[in-house]
Amino acid sequence: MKKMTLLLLAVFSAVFLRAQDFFPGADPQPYPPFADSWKADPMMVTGNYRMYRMDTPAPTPAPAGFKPFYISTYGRHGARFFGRNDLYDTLARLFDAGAQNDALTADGQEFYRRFQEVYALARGRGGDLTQRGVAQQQELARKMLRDYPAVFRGRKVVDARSTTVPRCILSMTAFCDALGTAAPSLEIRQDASAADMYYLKPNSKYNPKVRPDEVDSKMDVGEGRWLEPWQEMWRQTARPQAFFARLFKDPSFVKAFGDPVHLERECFYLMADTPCVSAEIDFREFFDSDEAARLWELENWRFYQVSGPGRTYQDRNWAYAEVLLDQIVRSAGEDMADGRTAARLRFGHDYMLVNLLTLLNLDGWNVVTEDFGRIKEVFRFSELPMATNLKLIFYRNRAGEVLVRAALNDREVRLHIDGAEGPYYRWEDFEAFCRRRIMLARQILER
Amino acid sequence: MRTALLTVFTALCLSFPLSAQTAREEIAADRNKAGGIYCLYAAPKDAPVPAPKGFKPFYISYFGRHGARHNLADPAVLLNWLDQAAAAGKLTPLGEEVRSRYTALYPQLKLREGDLTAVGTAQLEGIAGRMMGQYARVFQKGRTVRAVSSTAPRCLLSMAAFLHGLRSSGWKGGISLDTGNAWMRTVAPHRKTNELYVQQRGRIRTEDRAACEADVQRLRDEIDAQAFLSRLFSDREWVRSLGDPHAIMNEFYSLAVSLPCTGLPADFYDLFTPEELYREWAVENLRYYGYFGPSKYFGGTSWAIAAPALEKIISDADEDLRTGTTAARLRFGHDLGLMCLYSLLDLEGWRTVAADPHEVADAWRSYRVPMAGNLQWIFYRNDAGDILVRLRVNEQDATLPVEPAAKGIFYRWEDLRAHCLARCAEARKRIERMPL
Repeated sequence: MKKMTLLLLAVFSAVFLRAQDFFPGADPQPYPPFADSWKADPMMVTGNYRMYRMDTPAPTPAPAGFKPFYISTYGRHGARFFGRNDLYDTLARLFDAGAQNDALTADGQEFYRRFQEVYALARGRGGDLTQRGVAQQQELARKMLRDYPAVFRGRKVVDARSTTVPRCILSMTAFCDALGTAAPSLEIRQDASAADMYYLKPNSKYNPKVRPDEVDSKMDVGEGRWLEPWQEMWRQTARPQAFFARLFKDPSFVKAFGDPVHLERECFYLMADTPCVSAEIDFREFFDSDEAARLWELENWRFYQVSGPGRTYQDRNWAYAEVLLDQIVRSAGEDMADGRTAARLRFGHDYMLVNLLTLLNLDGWNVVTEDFGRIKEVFRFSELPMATNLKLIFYRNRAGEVLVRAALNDREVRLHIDGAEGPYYRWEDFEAFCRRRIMLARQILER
Repeated sequence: MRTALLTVFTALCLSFPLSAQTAREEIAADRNKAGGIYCLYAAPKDAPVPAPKGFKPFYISYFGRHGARHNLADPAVLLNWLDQAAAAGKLTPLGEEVRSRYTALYPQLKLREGDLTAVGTAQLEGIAGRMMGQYARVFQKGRTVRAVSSTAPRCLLSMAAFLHGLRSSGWKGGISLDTGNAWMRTVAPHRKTNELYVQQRGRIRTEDRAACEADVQRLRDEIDAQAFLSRLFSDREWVRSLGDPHAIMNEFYSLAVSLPCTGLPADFYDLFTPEELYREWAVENLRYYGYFGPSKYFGGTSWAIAAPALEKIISDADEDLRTGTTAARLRFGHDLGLMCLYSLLDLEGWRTVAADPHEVADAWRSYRVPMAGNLQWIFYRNDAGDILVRLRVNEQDATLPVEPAAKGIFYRWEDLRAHCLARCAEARKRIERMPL
């Protein structure tokens, strides 16, 4: 009988569950119109390399009698150098040759001058946390302490875990050092082990549920199913001739150094990442705003497909985050019962965070569309700055009732929990909501 | 007069640090040492010899290994062997007992290979705390502590623990933190990120490598692995189907010596006789000595790969002495780099070349690079601006062939610096001349 029910359920899920059904109540217009945002926010172009905005709005005051007592987070490492050394090395070869052959325009010479400054810092440092990234994490720790002093009063424990990636561990260390310096009575534990990878990076090989063809390297990095269409879109969208004509007297000069589309993309990434390296150096002016918007859109599309509700992976990508959400909910229950833990901090990566946001059905991360032009209206990877983080802040009153509030990058977000207004949710409702989302994700993975 | 006597006494002690006991005796007295590089750090109890009159510490340069960690081997390998043997009915009663002990322990080892442990964290916190306690003047307001780490998680977490130790002892100043491949040639010189290592390894002649391996094999052959295995497994022939008997025995040895590093309430030392432990250690010791010590195998170039690490310590000191804004430089790396660095510096106790593989154990001992092992350079200055440096290995004074300026252990910075640069030049020259 039970088997029959399961079978029926499976058939029903397969036939009737459409992607949209996973995201009940999704706000179809979670952001202002793209054109307006683009004009108003000059750093939007830097996408997921953008710097964290520390000036955050004050949260909705907690209901009378409720005080924060516990925080659970999942956050991304701080500002880092671009991930591949060969980006810097290739551009160095290109512009060195351009300078030596007197092939650069005045703009090209200025680009080169700025590039040399970046290269002096970035050479051989692909993927490493920058000193701005260290500072960001230190500042975020002090900010958390300022925003929620009550949580960290007394001899409480802070349990911090990181993926085994050096930039994440260093982010954790910078964060914890600043936290411990400002609040010396805390007992801060830091760890970075393969043993925690199954939930800190849910699509890694450490999660036994991950299908071999969907393990991280096959999904996120250069082997994913998104790769070919994305390359094709770049070929159709980029205008390397026009871009390089501004920098080189003869734009065909660049051809000897690689595919011009690829080289323009490398310049685009360089522009986006440079704020992570230096506050003084800026390459944005070398990109025409309309051109930059088109290129941004391609990168945004990639994020939408790899980590969000895009159709490429048929929801299996974000569904993997169920182990992370399960660990968050479970450890919150244990920590509240134990009463000694003030905070649980998890240091990881942006893709996994988007998976989690989509799993949680958060507005801005949950609209399903196959209309390319609409994606930029409903999903924005510029909302994933370096050090981006999701915080769950737990409040309690004297009667022992517990409320939970969620904040993405220290800006509060609302959840689609039936019958609850938000942004403060009863813990029982929040937990039940998470359990439903976890069940749904497991169904998707078992389909 | 008293000072002079003390100086002579200290110098004598330091000159003959190994003369007191053989390795076999030391290990018999403290089985922890049988673990070699798994040896636990022994914090010194005595306060350091005071600095000469008028000299105050003002800068510290530190190069240390991560703290105690889990075994590097995959713990599932042993479990599989024991399970297979149980299924085939090939375990002795002791083997059965070992299997049940190991099965109970396994969940706490799974996926923990190489991870820093709570024991390791405490070691680094302790070292930092003593540094703050003994050299508080170094850590003045407005100065920065600059720390870099190998990219290995256990090293990064060791750095975190060290910083926590400084903070707990009252350091409130600024820190700078960094890691990445770009640092590896100086914090982990035994890797391919160090061009000198690549060059040296590339120039090793096949016959030289074979000579080293043959000596290692000679010591290994003297171990009766079958005798060990027959206590656990009931069928000699069947055990061979699992693999080389000595490799199996060595897996148990690694487990036994690494467990004290975890702090877990488990002990597998009882599987070994003291002689077996000693011999297992001696084989590993020879290997480390051969590839990273002052051995003759590769023309005396094994340690030479650490030149970039030492050059960086010197250039950092040059910069820091000029700017005066850095309190301490901290580097978190690995055992192999530290071994090479000691021989490169020509430290007493790290330069003896053994004539025969059996003599290596008494010439050079891997357990003196314990978990959290470290080299500290403590810089002192007087009002006249004279600079003296003392070198501390695992927080004990170390000597090298440079004329000391005071008390047998304080060297003039310019003398020490010249010695270091000469050694680095010699190291590079030797590798350049390979094969020798």
